[in-house]
Amino acid sequence: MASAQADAIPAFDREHTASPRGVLTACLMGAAMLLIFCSRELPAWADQTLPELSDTAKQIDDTLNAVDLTAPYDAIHTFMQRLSDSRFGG
Amino acid sequence: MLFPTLAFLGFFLVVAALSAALDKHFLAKKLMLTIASFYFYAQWNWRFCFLLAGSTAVSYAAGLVIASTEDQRKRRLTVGIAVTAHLLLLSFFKYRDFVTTQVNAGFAALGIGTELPFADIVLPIGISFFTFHGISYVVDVYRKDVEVCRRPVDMALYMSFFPQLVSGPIVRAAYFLPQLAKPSGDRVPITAALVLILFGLFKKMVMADYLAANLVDPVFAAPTSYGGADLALATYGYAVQIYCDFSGYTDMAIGLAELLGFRFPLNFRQPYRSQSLQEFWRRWHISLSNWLRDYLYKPLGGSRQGPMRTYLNLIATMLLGGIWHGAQWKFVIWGALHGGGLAAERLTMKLTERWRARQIGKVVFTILTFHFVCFCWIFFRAQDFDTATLYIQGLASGWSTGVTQAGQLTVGLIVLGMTIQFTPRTWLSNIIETFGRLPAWGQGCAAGLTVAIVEALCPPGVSPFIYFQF
Repeated sequence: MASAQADAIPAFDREHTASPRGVLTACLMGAAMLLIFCSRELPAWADQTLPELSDTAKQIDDTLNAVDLTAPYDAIHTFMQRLSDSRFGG
Repeated sequence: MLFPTLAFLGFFLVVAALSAALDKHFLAKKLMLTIASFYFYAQWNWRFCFLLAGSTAVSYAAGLVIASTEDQRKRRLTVGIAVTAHLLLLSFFKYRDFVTTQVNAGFAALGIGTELPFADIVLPIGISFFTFHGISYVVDVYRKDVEVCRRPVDMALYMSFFPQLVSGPIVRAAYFLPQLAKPSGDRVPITAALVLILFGLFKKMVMADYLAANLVDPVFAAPTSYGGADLALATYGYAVQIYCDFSGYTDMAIGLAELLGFRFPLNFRQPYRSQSLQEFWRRWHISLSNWLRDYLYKPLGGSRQGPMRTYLNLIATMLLGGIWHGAQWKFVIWGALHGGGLAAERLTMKLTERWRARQIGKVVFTILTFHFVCFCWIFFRAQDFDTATLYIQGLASGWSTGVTQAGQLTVGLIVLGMTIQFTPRTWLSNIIETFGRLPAWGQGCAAGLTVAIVEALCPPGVSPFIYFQF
């Protein structure tokens, strides 16, 4: 007799739910936030996956940079770069 | 198409939109998910889709034949043919060149001048997982543990469902097929799913990828260039890296499946807090451990035929589990070490029982188990057996050079990775509870922001998941 498999998400964590339309709305909102706050990654992503959109991706990044929305990303990225380079005793 | 990429996000948005549109049309939704899964698989190599389709067809047909008769001989013959077909497929792609190398080495040792040619075949991604799905289905139908699947689309979706297709978890037919029989009517547990996806993304993109790039990869590439301290830290680093990489993938797979309305089983449960190897295997890659137990260890006799046979069964099961990971001697050694460890643990369990029950004993055995697992990871991660030997020699000497490769970030990530092992489960539930107070659109915004922060935190580029190679 094969053993039963336990659910990865237990019943007590399943209380907050949404309909499939709610899921789609959440995904679209998430994608929009990602587009705004992660625009620094857009040109590289576009180059790799959809080169024809490279110019558009660059334009979006430039526009968001002009209104300083890329600042949080840049700050975190620079901080991690510094942390990544630091070594013990140096 | 890796999960943490823009391409996958675009793909998933389309699938989520279609899934919402087809919510009231379950058959059409299953058909759409099957097509989407084959499209997802075709992104690696479209030719592999024929393998997946062939494996599905064999399992489906074998299930129907087995269920159609009570003639034991015919049932046994059918299950035998189907399992052999799956194993031949797996062996051809995974072990052919390994066998050729060993045969050629044998020829050379005997002075025979002939050399078998290498096939130079690309390993189809996820083949180990979908063949195991196929095998478990036909065996379960044979054992009457699961109802035969009569709808081809259900079988195709069970075998190909994209969240688990390339790296598991290995979902049993008895767990997944009933979900395809009729719509559950349950609403989507969106908060838990999103939290799992975000947590998985952080573990993979930040923890695993930084540990790999800044510590594990350079040290394992040239172990003789580093002192004992770096080698020890890289070993701990790899233990945390492989946990974060694989459990991170699994978390994302579970979350994605839940967003589409399907449940997946638990695959990791804080494995490094285990007080014994047996417990470790009940917490690490649970779906594979259970698969090996139900389809290999138990059919070999399990623990029913005396202690000696039990030890041999444990070693044989873990050896085959090691070989499942790849056709290399280092995986054979890794499996043999775990099998030997499990046998030794069982042999000494009576002697250590009283010790294990005491608080200090629990701490000691947790540390011992973790370090044994770390030692085995050296063979698993090293380029080959010889490199692993050099690595272990370096660990046993050369502690005077101090730490040169590990930095504050990597040590911090190792500490964080170990802390996760001992954090109470209520911690995740509290996050889900807090996050769940937002409406669905608000949760989407928060999730998008979190992904943006993870993207800013992680090193450049997206490295493939470790278990993709298996």
